[in-house]
Amino acid sequence: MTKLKNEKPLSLRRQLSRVGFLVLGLFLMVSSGAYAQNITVKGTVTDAQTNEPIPGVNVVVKGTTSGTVTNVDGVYNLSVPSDGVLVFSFIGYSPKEFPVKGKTKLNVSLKTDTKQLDEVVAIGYGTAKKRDLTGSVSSVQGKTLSQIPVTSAAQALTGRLAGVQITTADGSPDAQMIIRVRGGGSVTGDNSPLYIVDGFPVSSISDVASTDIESIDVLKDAASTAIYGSRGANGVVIITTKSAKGGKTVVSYNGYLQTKTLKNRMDVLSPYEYVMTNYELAALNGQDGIKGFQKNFGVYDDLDLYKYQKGTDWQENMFGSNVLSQQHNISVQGGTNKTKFSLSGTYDYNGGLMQNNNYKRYYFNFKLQHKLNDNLTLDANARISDALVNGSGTSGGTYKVRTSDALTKGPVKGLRDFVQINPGTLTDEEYQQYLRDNMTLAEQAAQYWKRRYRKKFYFAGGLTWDITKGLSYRLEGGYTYGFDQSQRYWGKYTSNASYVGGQPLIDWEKSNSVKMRAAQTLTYDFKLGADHKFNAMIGQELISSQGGNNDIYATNYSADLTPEKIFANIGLSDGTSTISSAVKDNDNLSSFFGRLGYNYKERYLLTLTMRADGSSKFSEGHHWGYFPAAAFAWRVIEEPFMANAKDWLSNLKLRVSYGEAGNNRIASALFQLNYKIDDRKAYGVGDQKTGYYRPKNSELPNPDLKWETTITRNLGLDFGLWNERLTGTVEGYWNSANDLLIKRNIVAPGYDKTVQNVGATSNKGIEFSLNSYIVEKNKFTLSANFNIGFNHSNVDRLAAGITQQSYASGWAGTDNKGYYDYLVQVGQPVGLIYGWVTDGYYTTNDFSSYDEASGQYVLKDNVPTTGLLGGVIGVRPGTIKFKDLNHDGVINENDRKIIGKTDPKFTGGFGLNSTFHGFDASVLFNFVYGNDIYNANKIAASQKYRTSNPNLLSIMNVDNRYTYLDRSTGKIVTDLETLKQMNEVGANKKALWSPFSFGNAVVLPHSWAIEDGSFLRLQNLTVGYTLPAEISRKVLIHKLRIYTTVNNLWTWTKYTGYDPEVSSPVRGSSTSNLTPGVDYSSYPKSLSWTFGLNVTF
Amino acid sequence: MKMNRNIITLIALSVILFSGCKKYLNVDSPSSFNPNYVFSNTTDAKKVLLGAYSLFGEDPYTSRMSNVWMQNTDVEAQQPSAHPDGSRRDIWSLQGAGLTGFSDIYKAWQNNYLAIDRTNQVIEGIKASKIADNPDMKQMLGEAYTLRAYRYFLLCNFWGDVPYFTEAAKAGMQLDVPKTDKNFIYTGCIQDLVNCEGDMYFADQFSAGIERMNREFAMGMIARLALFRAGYGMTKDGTMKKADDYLDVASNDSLAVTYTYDGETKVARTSQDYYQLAADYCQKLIKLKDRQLNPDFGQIFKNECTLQTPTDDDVLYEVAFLAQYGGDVGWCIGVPVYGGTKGKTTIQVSLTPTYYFSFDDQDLRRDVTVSKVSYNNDNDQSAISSTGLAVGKWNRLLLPNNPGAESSKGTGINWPLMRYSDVLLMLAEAENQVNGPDQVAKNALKRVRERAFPASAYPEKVDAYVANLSSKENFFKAIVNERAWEFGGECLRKFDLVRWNIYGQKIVKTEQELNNIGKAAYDRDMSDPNVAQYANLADKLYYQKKDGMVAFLNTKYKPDVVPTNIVTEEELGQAGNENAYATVNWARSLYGYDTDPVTNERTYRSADYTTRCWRGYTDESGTSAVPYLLPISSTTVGASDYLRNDGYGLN
Repeated sequence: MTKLKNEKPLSLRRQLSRVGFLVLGLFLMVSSGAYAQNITVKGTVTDAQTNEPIPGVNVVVKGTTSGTVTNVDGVYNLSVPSDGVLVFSFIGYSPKEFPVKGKTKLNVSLKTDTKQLDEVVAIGYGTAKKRDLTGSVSSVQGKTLSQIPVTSAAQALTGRLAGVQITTADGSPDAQMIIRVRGGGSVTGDNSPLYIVDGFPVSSISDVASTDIESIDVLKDAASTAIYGSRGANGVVIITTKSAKGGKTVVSYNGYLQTKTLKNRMDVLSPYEYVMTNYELAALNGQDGIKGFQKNFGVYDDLDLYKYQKGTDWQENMFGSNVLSQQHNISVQGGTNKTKFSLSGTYDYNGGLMQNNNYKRYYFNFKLQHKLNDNLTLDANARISDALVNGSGTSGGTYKVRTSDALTKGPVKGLRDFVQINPGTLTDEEYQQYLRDNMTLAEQAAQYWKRRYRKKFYFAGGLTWDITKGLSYRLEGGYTYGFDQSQRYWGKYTSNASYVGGQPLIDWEKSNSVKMRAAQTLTYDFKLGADHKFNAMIGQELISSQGGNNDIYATNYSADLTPEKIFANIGLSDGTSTISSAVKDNDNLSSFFGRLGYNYKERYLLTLTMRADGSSKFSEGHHWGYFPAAAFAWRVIEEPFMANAKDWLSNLKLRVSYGEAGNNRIASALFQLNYKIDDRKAYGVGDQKTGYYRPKNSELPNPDLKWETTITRNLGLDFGLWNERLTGTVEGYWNSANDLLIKRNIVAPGYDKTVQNVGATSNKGIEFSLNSYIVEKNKFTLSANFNIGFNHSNVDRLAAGITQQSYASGWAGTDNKGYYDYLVQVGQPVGLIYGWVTDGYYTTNDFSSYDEASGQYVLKDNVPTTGLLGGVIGVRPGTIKFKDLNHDGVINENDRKIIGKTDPKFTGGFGLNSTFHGFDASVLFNFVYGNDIYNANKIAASQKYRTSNPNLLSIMNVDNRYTYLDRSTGKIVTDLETLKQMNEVGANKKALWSPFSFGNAVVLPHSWAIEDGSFLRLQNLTVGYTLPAEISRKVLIHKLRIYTTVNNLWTWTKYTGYDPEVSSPVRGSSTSNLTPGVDYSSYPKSLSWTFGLNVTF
Repeated sequence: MKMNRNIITLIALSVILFSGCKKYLNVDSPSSFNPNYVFSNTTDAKKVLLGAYSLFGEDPYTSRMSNVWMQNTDVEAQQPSAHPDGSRRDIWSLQGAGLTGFSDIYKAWQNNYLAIDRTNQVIEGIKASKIADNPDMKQMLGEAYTLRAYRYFLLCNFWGDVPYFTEAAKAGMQLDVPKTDKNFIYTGCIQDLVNCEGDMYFADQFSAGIERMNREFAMGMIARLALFRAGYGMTKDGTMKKADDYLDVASNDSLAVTYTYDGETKVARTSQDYYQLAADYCQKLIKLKDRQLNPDFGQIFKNECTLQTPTDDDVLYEVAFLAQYGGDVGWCIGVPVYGGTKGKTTIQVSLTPTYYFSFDDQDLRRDVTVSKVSYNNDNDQSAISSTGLAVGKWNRLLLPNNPGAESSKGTGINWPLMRYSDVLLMLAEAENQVNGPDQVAKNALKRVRERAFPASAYPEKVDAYVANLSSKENFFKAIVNERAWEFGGECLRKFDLVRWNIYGQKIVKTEQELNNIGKAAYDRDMSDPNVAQYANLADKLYYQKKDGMVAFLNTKYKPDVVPTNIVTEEELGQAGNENAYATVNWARSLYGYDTDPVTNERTYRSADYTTRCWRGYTDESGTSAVPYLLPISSTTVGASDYLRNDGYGLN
C-alpha cells in the first residue's frame, strides 16, 4: 500500500506523481460500493506509438477503490468483477476505459496525451499540477527540448516563454546568456533570476548539459517565488534533470556535428578608396600630413596603382575560422521497483569563428533512487561538469582585440612594409598602433592568450519519510565544489609586457567555491469534510557559500615558449613573481518558510506563503527580511453554471496573486570597513616589494544596507478549448521594487561609489501565450505555439531630491565627449541613451565666406557653431552638424537629449511542430520589437577613431560623404562654390558628412547611430526522420532519429550592425544593467548547420 | 518502529544542527583585517601606511602629476599639436580647461583623495591605538600628516580651491562638500606639520631613510607650504591673489598657524608672517641637521639611477618607486633611449632652448641637467635638436639591474620631492622677503652656487655675483633664476611661477627670446639689439662620433671655424668621413618661414615650437593670469551638488 503524498522532492517528480495518481485511484476505490464475481485479469500496457511497455500505470476498477499498478514490464494482474470496467491512467497519456467482459487477458495501448492540465510543474520545495496552480508559471518540457539541438539551457528557452527574454550577449562560443523574467527591477544590481537545479540553487545554468534537462519551469510572480524569499525577486528558473525512471534498461545516444560561418559582414572601403580617403585626411593636415602619407603609401600620382590591389579581408582573417562543433551524449536508465538509476555523460565542443577561441565541456550526471522500506526513500545525485574555455574573444580592454579592428584596419599596407620605425619615439598609443599595423588580427589575438578551466562537482542526497497518511518529512543536503582556473598570457608585443621587461608574462588565478545546503520540510495534506482540502508545508533551509582564490603572476618568459609550456613550467620565469591568496567572506543564508494551500470544491484555490531570510551580507539588525505572499485561483469551469459550456470549453481559470520577494545581490561585507592585503603598485622602500593593507571594498561602507523588496501583483486567466486542443494564458502584472540596492556615484574623498537602498522601479506588463494541437492524427500531427510579452519598465523614484542620474556605457572609455551617454530618469524606463541630435552637415549656405589667409570659414550669424568635434576640418562645409536644442548659438554639452530607448515594447516567439509518418519538423521564430540600439561600432568605423590610416565602413565611400579632395589635382578644395558643386547639388548631393569631422579621440553619441533594434529571427529550423520501429528493431535499436537543424537562418531587421541582439560592451561592469543596448566590439553571431542523431537501444 | 525511532532521533539531530551557531550570519573572512587589529601593532600599522604610499605607484602620479603635467614653463616644456585637439597634450599648452572628460584628470583627482582618505584612516587609527605613544607609531602619524599635506599641495596646485577633509570618510558624513579656499588648506596642513614634526625621525634615525617621509622633509614641507601660503594663487574670479588680498587673515584663526621657534611662540597670519615661518623652519632644520651639499651635482641623480639612497645628502625625501611596479623616471622623463639592453623611453618632458642658453657657461649644472644627446642603443648616441632637449638628470642606461631590452615603464628610479638646496634657497627667498638680502639670505644662496661652479670661479660667479644682489628685487630675481638652474627637470618650476605670480611674464619672455634667437639665426632684424645679442649663438651644432658617442664641435656658440665636410649622421661612420661632421639644428630650429609656391618668396614667422608650446596664453603683456588650473572631471561634476567648473580661469 502506498501512502498519499503530495509534496515530493523535485528530482523525483515523475515517479512520485505516478504514485500520486495511484493514490488518487485508491481513494476512488475506497468510496466504491459492492461488486460482482471476481476474475483475475492480466495484461500488458504499452505506448501506442512506440509499443514500449509502460511501468507504473494505474489500473483501477471503475467506480471502486480496487486497483493496481503495472510493473516494470508494463504488466498488471488484478482481481476484477467479470462485468467491471478497467480504467487505465498514467500521467502524460490519455486515460482509457476497457470493459472486462469476462476476458482474463487484456492488453492495452495508451496514447500520449498532449493536454497540459495534468502536467506537473515544479513550484519550489514541491510540485503541483498545472490545474492546481495559483501563481504564474511557464514551462518547457524535455520533449520539446530533445527535438532541437541546443548547447545550453538558456538557448533552449529563447523565444519559448511569454515574459522571459533571453539575450545572447554575442556570438562567442561561451557567450553569456542574459535571462530576464518580466524585465527585472533592480537598477544596478543583478537582474538575473534565481536558478534552481534539482532543488539546489546555482549561480549559472551553464554547467548543466542541455541533454540532461527534463524540464524547465519559470516562476514569474511573487506568489510562486515568495517561497524562495530573498532570492525570488527576479523570477525563479527551476531546472529538473532527467531522473531515474526504473524499468527496462534503456541506453540512448544523442549527438550532433555542427558547422558555422560568419552570419553578416560589414562592407568597408575598397583598397583604392581606403588610400584616397587617407590621402584626403593627410592633405587636410597640410604638407606635414602629405609627407607622412607619402612615406606610407607613395606619391599622389601613383595612387591609381591601389585600384589593382586586392585588399586583405580582415573580417575573414579574424572570424573566418573553419569550425566544426560537436556534442555527444550517452545515457543509461534502468532499475527495479526498489532501486532506479539514471546515468548520463556528455561531451560538448563548441568552436568559435575566431582562431583558438572555443570551449570544451564534459558533463556527467548520476541519479539514484532507492526505497529503504515502505515509507522511507533515499535519493542521491552526483553531477560533474568540466569545461575549458579557450581564447579571450573580443571582450574589450584598451589594447585587446576589438571587432572594429576588423573594419578599420587598412586592407593594404602600402609602403609600410619597408619603413623603419623607431618604437621608442612613439607614445603608448602610437606604439600599439605600430604593432597593430604590423600584425594580422589573428596574430594580434594570439598575443592575448587566455584559458579558463571550470570544474563543478555537485552531490546531493535526500531522504523522504512518509510518517503517516498525508504527513511526510524530507531532509535534503547538497554540496557543490567549484574549481576555476584562469590562465592568461600576454605576448611580448603587448603593452603589459613592455612595462615589465618586454618579455611575455602570465597570470594564473585559481579559485575554489563551496556551496552547502541543508533543508528540511514537513508536509501535511488533509481534508476537512469532502469539500475542504488542505496542503501545508513548513521548512527550514541553510545555504552557505564559501570560497577563495590564489593567484600567481610572473614575468619575463622567453617569447619562444608556448603559453602551454610556460604554464606547465612556471619556474622558467627570469623575472619577478608574485603569489597572493584570499578567502572570501562567507555568504550565509538562514531561512524559515511555510506554505498553506486550501482547495474548496476544486473551484476555489488559495495559497498563502511566508518566508523569512537572514543574510550575512547585512549588518546586525538588518539581517532578516520577511516575504509574504497570497494567491487565489477560481476554476470557473467547475462552476455549475458553466456546465453547458463544457462541450467546447475545457478549462477556465482566473488567478490573482500578491506577494513580496527580496534581493540581496550585492558583494559581501559592504557594510563595514575592513582591510585586505595587496602588493600591486607596491611602494618600494629599499627596492623591496612589501605588501600593504588597503580597504577591502572600493565602495564607501554603508552600515544601513538592508533588503531590497519587490512587490508583485499578478492577474491571470488560463483557458482551454475543445478538450484542450487550444490552450492559452493571458496575464497582467505589476511589479514594483523598493529600497533598491543601487551602486550610486558619489563624491567623497577616496570613493566614487557606494551601495545604498534608494529609489524604486516598476515593471508592468501583459503576457499572452497560446498553444494549439491543430491536427492530431496517428500519422500526422501539427501543433503551433505563440507567446508574446509586453513589458514597460519605469523608474519610480531615485534618491531624495534626485530626478535623474547619468551613467557612462564606457564603450569608448572617456573619449566619449560629455562622458555620460545614458540616463536614468524618474518616470522613464531604464536604458535611455543620451546624446546629440544629428542634423546632417554644415552646407556652404551656412557660411558667408572663406578667409584664405587665416584658413577660417566664416559662419553666418544665425548658424550655431560648435567646439565639440575637434576634427582636422574644424567647422566648415561638410562638418557634421548637431541640433542646437537650446538655441543659444553654440552646440555644446547642453544640447543633448534622450535619443534612444533600449527597452523593447514587446518580445516573444512562435513556432510550428509537425510529424508526418516518420518525419518531424519544427520551426521557431523569436522577435523583439521597439527597442533602440546604440551602434557604437558604426561610430568607431565611420571616423578616424584612435587609429592611424583607418579604413572605414563603405557608407563613408566618397560618393556618399562630403569630400574636399579634387581628385584631378590631389588638392584640397576650399572655395565655397566649388565645394557646393562637388557635394551639395544634384547627383553629387552627399548623404553623409565628412569622416574628418571628429578628432582622433572624440566620439559623440548622436542620433544617427541610434537604430531601431527590432527583429524577427528564424532562430531554428529542424527536420528529422525516425526510422520505422520495425526496421530499427532488426538491428536491436529501439528508436533511431536523424535530423538536421539550421540555427540563426534569417533575421529580419533594419539594424545595420552585425546583429540586433546586443548587450553592453562593458560586460560585468557595475553599471552594465543601466547602459544596455550598446553594440561595440561584440563577437559577431554565426549561422550554423547541425547534423544529429538520436538513438535509443 | 525501531526504524521510526531512529528517524525521530535523526530529525531531532537535524533540528539541532539547523538551529546552529549564532554567528552564522555574522561572517568574518580570515583575509579581512579590521581597523582595530591593524593599528594594534607597528608592523601592521606600517602596512596600512604603505597602502597610502602605494598610490604613488599608480599612473596619475608616476608620470602625470609628478612631471608630465608640470609643463609648460620657461624651463620644462613639451611641444603639443597646433590646435586644441582634446588630447592630453592640451594640458601642456595651458588649454586643459576643455579636458573635463579626460580620464587621467579624473583619476588624478580621485587618487589624491584616495591617498588623503587613507592617511586620514591612519591618523584616526593611530590616535585610537593602545600603543599610540610608541615612537614608531608617532613617526607614522607624522608621516600620515606629511603625506596628506603633500597630496593637498598637489590638489591645490592642479585644481586651486578643493574640498578639504581631515576625517576619514564614513557613511552618514557630508561627503559631497563645497570647495575650501586653498589658503585654509595650506594653513591647516602647516599647523598639522608644525604639531607633529618633532615626533618624527630624521632619515638617519630609521631604516627607511629618505624613502619614507621623515623629519627633515616634514620641516621642508612646512617651509614650502608656507611659501605657497604667502604667495599667489588663482582665485575664483580668475585673477591671481595672495590670501592677504582677499581673505580676513587678521582675525580668522583658520588662516593662522601657531608655532614655536627658538623658544618664542609665534602666530603667522599675513603673507609676511608666513615668509618668516618658512625662514624659521629652514633655519631650524639647518640648526638640527645641517649637511654639506654633495659636491658633485651629477652624483645626486646618479645615486637615484643606481638605486642609492644616502642619508644626510642632498635628497631629503624621494618617492620610492619599485622596478616593474611603478615609476616612470627614466621612461617619460630623462635621457632618451631608443634601444639597447636597458629598455626604451617615451620622453614626454623636455627643456626649453632658452633655458639651456640661460646657464652661465661655467655652471656645472647645465650639462647634468640638459641632455643634447639620445641613445640609439647602449653605445650609440645621436644629437638632439634644440626643441627637443631632454632632461639629463636621469638615464635608464645607468640602472644597475637589467630591466630588459623591451622594457618601458617601471624603471624603479626614485623621484626626488625635496633636496637640501631647496631648503637653502627657500631660506634665502623667505629671508629676503622679510628682511631683504641680508647675510642669512646671501649665505644660503652662496652655498648653492658654490656647489654649482668650480672653485676657480667662486670669486666671480659666487662672491661677486651674490654681493651684487643689493636690492630685495634683484635678490628675488636671482632666486627665481637660481631655482631654475638648480631644479631644472625636477618639475618644481610651474607652481613656483604660480606662487610668484610671474608665470605670464616668463611665458612672454621665453617666446620673445625664442623669436629673437631665431631671427638672429636667420639674420633677420639684426638692428634690434634684442636680436643682435644672439648673433653669436650657433645656428647648428657640429659633431662627430667617437666610439658611437657624440662629440660636439660647438655646444652653444658658432664654431670658430665652420666645418665644410658635412655628412649625415649615418654617413659619419663610413670610410673617408673620419674628418667629416654631422649637424643638428640649433638656433635655426627656433624660427621658420613659408615659401610662396609661385614667387618663391619667403615669409618669416615664429617656429611652430614657439607658437604651440604656450598657445593657451595669449596676453602679450604677460600680466594676466595664466590658465594653469585643470578642470574638475565631468564624472565628478556630474555626481556632485557643489563642484562645478565655473571661474578659476576655466571658462
